[in-house]
Amino acid sequence: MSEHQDQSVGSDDAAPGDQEAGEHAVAAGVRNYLIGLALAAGLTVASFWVASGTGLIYPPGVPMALAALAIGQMGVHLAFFLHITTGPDNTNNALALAFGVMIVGIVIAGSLWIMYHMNTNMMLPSDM
Amino acid sequence: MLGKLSWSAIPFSQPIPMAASFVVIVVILATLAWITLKGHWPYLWNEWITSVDHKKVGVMYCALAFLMLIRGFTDAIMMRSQQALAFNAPGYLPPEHYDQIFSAHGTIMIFFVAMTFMIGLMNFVVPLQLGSRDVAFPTLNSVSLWLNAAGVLLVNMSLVIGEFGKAGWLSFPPLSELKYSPGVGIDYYLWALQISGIGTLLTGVNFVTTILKIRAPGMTLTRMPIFCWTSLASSLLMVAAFPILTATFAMLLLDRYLGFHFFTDSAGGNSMMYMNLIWAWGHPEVYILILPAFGVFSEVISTFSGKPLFGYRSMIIATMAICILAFGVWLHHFFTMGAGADVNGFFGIMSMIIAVPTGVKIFNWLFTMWGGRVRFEQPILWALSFMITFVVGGMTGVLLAVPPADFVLHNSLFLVAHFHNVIIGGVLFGAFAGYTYWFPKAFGFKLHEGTGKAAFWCWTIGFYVAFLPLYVLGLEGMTRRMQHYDVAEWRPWLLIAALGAVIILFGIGFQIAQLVISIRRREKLRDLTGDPWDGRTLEWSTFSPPPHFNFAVLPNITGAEAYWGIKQKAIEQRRLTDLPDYKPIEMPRNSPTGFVVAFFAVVTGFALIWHIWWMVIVGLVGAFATFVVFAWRDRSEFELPADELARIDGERRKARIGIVEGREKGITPVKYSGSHEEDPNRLGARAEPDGGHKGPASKRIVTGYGFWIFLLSDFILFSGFYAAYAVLSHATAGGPTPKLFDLKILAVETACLLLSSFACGMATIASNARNMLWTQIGYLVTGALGLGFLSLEISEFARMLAIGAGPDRSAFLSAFFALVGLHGLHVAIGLLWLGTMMAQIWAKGFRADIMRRGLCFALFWHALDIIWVGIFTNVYLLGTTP
Repeated sequence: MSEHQDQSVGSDDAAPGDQEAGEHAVAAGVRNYLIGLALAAGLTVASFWVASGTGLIYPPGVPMALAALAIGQMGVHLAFFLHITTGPDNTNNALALAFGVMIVGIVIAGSLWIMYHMNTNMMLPSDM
Repeated sequence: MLGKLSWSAIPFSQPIPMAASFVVIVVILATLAWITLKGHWPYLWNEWITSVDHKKVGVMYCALAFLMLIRGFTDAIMMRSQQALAFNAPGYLPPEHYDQIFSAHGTIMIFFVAMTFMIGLMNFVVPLQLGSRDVAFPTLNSVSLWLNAAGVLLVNMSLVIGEFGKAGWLSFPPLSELKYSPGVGIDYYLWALQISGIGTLLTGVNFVTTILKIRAPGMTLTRMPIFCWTSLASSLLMVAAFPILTATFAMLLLDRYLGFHFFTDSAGGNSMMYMNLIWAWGHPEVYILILPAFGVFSEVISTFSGKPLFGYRSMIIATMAICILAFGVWLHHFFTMGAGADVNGFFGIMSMIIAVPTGVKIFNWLFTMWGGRVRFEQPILWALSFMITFVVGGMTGVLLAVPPADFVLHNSLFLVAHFHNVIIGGVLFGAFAGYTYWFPKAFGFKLHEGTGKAAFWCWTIGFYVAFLPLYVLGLEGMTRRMQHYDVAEWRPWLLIAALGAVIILFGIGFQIAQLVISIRRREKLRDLTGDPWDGRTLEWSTFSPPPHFNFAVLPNITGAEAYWGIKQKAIEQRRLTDLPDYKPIEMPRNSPTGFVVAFFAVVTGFALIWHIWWMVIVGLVGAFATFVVFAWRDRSEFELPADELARIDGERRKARIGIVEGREKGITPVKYSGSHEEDPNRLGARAEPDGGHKGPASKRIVTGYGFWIFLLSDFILFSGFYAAYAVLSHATAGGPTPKLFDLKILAVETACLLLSSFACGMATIASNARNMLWTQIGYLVTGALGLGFLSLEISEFARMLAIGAGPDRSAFLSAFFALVGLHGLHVAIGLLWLGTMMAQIWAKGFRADIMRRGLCFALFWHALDIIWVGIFTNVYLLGTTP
């Protein structure tokens, strides 16, 4: 419970979500969140705009554009709000994330691939 | 008042379950009476039930597993005797009872024997081998244990009150849907496994964090014993796979309780999706079980061959390769369901590839023994039997991985023989090897040898007699789960198989006798040095049984096989290491949290099974209150003074002198090179003796990392629901339409959540600067915006329900409500958490432990945004684009 256990000096490891503490920690921290908020808001607006069918994007490409915007925004959240970086003190956190993303990818892509096959081969063509 | 519960739930008319439950109840009552009469309650409560010591938790897991092994085996021998009798006859078990027995047998053996035993061994051994004093989250560990026990209790309750599931150990729909299984059996199954599954997930989180973050100084990753590596791989699989199981069961529960259409045979539901999802958990589950067993065998074979493990690095690579490949083979459980040749071919080849790292391991073990001086003690007997048996099982597995062969053998007894071959020959023999190997460490005396060897031979021979006939029967076309049959050629094989089960029964009998005899003769079997097997890893450097703090001073590791190096150096120099500088240490205090939470979990589960809604609320409120009380406590640790440590450690050193001076039998001195240098050219070698690892991470890092791992499992939970949505959203006419979703409300919801995240970030900065006012304002804004989001979502749901677009209308709407509702549930839980935390900061200030929770809350809240980004783009926006 003692305080000193929470301050590891010179550690090559950081807790996920912890920002680097510097001289201007508060100002730098607020700026970081503000940039994140602006980017996230911008990407959200872009998603809504793309989905509203502006005609600027080739219509069959809309799902792709939405997916790209979503992945971009997730990255913004990870970097600016969850403070996951590529720095050496974050290797463990980033590796864990990579493992999680891989499993998420396998579950979603695998399910879609398998179920697409099942549906084509096994479902009755009528009344669907 | 009592929902569906009435006197008719108790099966008075069925003599077998009645007699069985009568015996069980009498035994339980007698045990309780004995404990009360002898006055053992304070001891049990203080030393075991509330203990957060990883060693005691591990022992309790193993004891639970043994108890459940007896229950599961009772089911097994009933099935074998039924099939021996039921040739052209009904036998003695009516179909509805027989169906419950095979369902319960599989469920209990996998979840509450195999997995429970492996988790027990991991609990006991891993912190000792890492040179740590406990796991990363000791109280959480106790919660895991008791949640597992809660699952056990619910499954066994079904024997007396109501019934158990009749749809097999994985409860496949549509049979397990309400339409075809209206009873409470499936509900018992689902809730018991949901509750114990949470416990398993938390165990996984706990052990990933323990192994990656709190190793002793110098214990680099490539110096860890293989058992720690396999435990890491197994824990990673728990974290990655169990959320999929939770998601799948949650969908089936929604189908059964709220009329959703995930897996029903109407309104676009798709039961094939259940097979897909459950096996995406089910195949990694197999490796969750077998990987720790591989670790046990590695330790045992190396110790009893008196040699370092052959191919340590290839063992690590093979383990981690299995950990990843485990997620690429699940379709081989349903080759016959009708996927095309591409899919079947891909998964068939993947299934064969995964046999390669397993083969690497077998060769490594063989080469470890080669040239060694093998001592045939009990643990290595199990390991030897495993190697032969498992290779046979593995080969039949490769055969089943060939899709055309699987079309012939699917669901036949050949399959049953195959998986018993790998699970008994692999997991269970591994459990027994570990049990006989670490028993002296846990209790301070060895297990009796004669009875142990008798048990070994009965199990090995019994296994072959019981299961080789099933291969033949499978090839003769007998399918699994048959209550009776009329094929004369099958009969002799089934009689032989029944005889095999009887031989295994003798094996279990010898194991019980061994335990009793060993306890009686414990003085003769006493292990005085703490190193009865001439061990090589750190657990043998401490007492048997180890003190609750494990190590008075954290060991300083300078190479692989940490204890072997220390021991050989001491033998050569004929003296122990210098007296260390003892410093006071802090150990976690005992806590009843785990037990109390599990009690409320049982109440909640039971109430849900019997539809007693008021009791559900009581249970949930009770569980939440228990956590709040736990979070509120002021002292979570106690201090052990340095002189006390010096006294206890002095005794350990005294007991060790015999080893050093060569008076102890069975300790091999080898020529020791003096310096314990590592090859500077090998991968990851570092110049400094500690290999660049300074020791356990700070508590903030440990907590944050553990929560991060938990969050990843949460993402995987969502991915299960998202996969269901993606598959089902266009399965029915009336998929997502622009009319259904109101984009204006969606925009406001998204804005709420984004700004709330920003406010949470501001609160985090303020709390790091110890500014109470701005912290509270920040959290208040966070909560208010979260509440705004939640109320908008609820009103949106209400609007959809009002126009008849509820989850009972179509599979698409079911998946939509479940996915979006799950996110909403997370927001609601976050708000509860936030309120509690704000009150706590107000009352107790910026205490380090509260700050750590603040860090976790911020991670949670920001992660909800990430999930929402996925939902609003892929569900709403994609659904409304023309």
